[in-house]
Amino acid sequence: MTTIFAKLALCAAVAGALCSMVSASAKETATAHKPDPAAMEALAKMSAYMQTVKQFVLDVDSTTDQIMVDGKTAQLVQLSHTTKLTVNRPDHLKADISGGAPGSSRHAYFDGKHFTLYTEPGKYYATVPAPATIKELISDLGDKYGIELPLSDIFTLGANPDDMKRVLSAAYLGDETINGATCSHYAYHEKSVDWQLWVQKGDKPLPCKLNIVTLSDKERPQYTAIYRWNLNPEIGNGAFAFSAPENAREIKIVQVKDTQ
Amino acid sequence: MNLKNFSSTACAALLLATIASTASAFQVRGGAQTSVNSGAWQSAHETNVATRQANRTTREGNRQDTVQQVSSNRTNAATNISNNRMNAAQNISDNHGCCYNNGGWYNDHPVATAAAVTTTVVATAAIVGSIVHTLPPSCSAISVNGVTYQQCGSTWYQPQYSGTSVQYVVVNAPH
Repeated sequence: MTTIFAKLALCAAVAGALCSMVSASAKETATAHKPDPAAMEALAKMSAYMQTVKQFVLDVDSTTDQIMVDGKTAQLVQLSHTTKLTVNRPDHLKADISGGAPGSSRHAYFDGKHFTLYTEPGKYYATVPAPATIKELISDLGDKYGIELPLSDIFTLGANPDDMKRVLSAAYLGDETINGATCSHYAYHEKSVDWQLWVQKGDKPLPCKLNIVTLSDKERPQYTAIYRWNLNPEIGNGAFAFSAPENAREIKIVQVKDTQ
Repeated sequence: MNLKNFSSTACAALLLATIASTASAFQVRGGAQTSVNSGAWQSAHETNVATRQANRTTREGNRQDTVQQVSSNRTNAATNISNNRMNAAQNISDNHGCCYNNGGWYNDHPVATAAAVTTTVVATAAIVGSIVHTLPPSCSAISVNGVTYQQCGSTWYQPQYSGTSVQYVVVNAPH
């Protein structure tokens, strides 16, 4: 409060012209970072290229912060996971996620007709009818079950103009070497998230790395994923079909609307 | 270690073990968003991420670990954990059913898990319709008319997915 009064007093004391100059320059700073068109174009270019890659296996090492509350203190703790995403566009997908305690894993199967969730420990699974494409599956899972498709960014980043409109600023920061590849480093700011994307240079603009900072919590938890692409995978015929392991037990998935 | 210290330590350990069987030491308030474009969708499905106490993703089998971790702490921890437990009870009402974080795939830390009850306090978890995220020990999985149950003594639970996490609804014994 004192500081504010001091500033006001200073303003009053100094010539009016000078004061308006100061506020004008402050305003300029606040609005200076319009999204860099090149950084926005990089998203679109990456998305367009990825849609031409019909089959791939993507190995991802990720870390995800959780906010641990112990009494009155909060602390970020980091979880590590590996994800293997096997895709045959537009209607086959499998995700195998492991991390946390030994023996703990989550799996998603989609074959263009059904979506199956299988988790260990416990060996539970649930199968629900699914729409015909991965794109439709993403919104269907969210709307009906509150489930996000794992690594959905691979399919959505740069693909939807409405999503791009949320970007308040975007910048190209230079190039970095990630896993031996040269990748262009971009930073994007939205109201509720800051995110950074590294895109491989050259004629295969694949994402090398992604970082997301959640701004809606004051602890600002982060998620970081590093991608390793295989664009020439050997995917077996049965890769996307779920067959229940021995002693697995079928249960239901609660629909979002049932509980709200 | 003299007798007095030993007895207070033992007492604390006992207390901790008892508490740990119903709620683990730490709570999680939520975590990082794991996709850029889930934001719009997320805000439509939940409000006030920052103040909402976390849902408790749960995994079976870590209770023993938790007891051991917690037991290795000392008397001070008992107070903290009691506080946590009270907080957990107070926050239970904020955690009805399915919510966004349950829908994630990367939020399953053993320390971050807790046995939470959504509709009642911990001590009366066996009320039909209440939901728990971990089962008591010594349950057996039973299938009745194609429905999967977990029978734990005289209490029957029906497991279900809330998002990608398994939760257990207390149900009447199936016939």
